[in-house]
Amino acid sequence: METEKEIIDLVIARLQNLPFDKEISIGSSGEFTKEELIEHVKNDDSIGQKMVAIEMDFLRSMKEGVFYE
Amino acid sequence: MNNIALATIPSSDQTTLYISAWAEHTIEQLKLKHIQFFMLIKDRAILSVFESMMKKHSPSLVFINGHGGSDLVCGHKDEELIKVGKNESLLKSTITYALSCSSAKELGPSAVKAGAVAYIGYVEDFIFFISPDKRTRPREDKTAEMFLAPANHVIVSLVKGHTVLEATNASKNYFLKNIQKLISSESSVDEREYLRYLIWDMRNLISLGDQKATVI
Repeated sequence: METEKEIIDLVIARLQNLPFDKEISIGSSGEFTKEELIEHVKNDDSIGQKMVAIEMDFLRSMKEGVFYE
Repeated sequence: MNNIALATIPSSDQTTLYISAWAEHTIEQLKLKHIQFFMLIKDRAILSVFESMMKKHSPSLVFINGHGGSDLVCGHKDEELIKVGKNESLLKSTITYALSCSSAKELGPSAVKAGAVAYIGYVEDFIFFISPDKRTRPREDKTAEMFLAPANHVIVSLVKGHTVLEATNASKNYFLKNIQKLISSESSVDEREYLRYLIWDMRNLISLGDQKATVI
């Protein structure tokens, strides 16, 4: 449970670093500002869960050394 | 292979406007000596026209742009174009690339089972960033270019005569080049936040079917 909260906090912290003047397009779900994404993560809905999945995939890819393939 | 290609270019919301603008741009930039490219633009990117063009021209390459899900891809105004269990056999004998969310999960394998030579697509949502001030000029959007240029490189590579596997890898390498640019000193701190999304798109791009097949 604690780990889950830590992951959510990490994802929110990362999203806060996104540029303020850009939007993200997530297929048919539409376009979102960083503030909207953070709300979705806090609400733990499908968009929020997608952001968590992307962060987890990113952490896995760093471990696998994907940058240096 | 008959050296004919067909692309669907819907444009009914911000996301399809962007991916279609970049698809059209990519096709226009290709020096097409060996292949004839038909584009179904906006309200022609619908099932009835797609079906009729597939039957009339039997293209060897199909380039789908539009929204999608694990079992389908859509055309203009999200009209269902190809769906598992309904009409995936339309892709028989083609190499298909779908710049569409998640369709390589179920539709890809089903299309290959129904006779498609190969299916290249994404097993998860295709994600990209846009600059809202470029909304009306998507081709000038350098942020979107970071994502859409590598994604469209599958088509560039296939049209140059590379195999399905080579085209998929060429696109992944293009993503990787952009990723490496972001981690170098050339990029701003803000831009480095795009890394995880480029990696996401790169890792979710897959090719199914005959990996050695070529379009020309």
